[in-house]
Amino acid sequence: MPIIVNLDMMLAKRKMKSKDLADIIGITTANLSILKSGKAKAVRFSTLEAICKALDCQPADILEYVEG
Amino acid sequence: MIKIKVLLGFAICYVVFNIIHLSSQVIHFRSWRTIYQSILDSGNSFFGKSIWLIQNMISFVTLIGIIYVCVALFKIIKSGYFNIQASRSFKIGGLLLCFVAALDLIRAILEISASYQTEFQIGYLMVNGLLFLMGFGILIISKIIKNGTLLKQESDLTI
Repeated sequence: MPIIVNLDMMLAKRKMKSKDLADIIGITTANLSILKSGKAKAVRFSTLEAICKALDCQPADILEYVEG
Repeated sequence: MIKIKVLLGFAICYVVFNIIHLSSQVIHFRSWRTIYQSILDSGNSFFGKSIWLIQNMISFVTLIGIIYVCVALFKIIKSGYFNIQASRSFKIGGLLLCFVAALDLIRAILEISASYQTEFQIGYLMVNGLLFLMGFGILIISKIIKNGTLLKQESDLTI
């Protein structure tokens, strides 16, 4: 998939653990892992909004388009 | 899910009765052969003596088709309505039922065109038409389950 999820990078920048982020945004760690690994088929706006709020960032910081 | 369980129960009963019927034909081969012979003597058949074998092959393939439908129903009970294994089993079962019904329809048409046991064959036409519709319906159900499985997968992977 040409859409890359840079959630790991943002978590490292904010020095936050996956479990803490999952707790804040209200999803399971299994679902967060699916999102991080790029296996997710879609992301709800509400989830994206919660992630941006928790990590204090923009959607573009998390999602990236790579041609190929 | 109760309706599926009831349907599975009926299908298993059908399979058991069909297995008993087919195995009795193998065990008591000679006596069944005599019954068929008397039918042949009274009305004759387009296929001659091989009608016994043709009828049993048709019964056997129908049995296999129904077994596949049973497997699909069992998988639905076990893993829910939308799973790819149930879709696959339904597809094979539906194809077998359609195939066997089409084959028997051709047989009945040939018998009618050769004026053998016309009254019986018209009955066969109706039953096989119904079996063909059933097989086709099962094929459509298989397609619906396949599409539903894809939608469920996408829904599950939407975070």
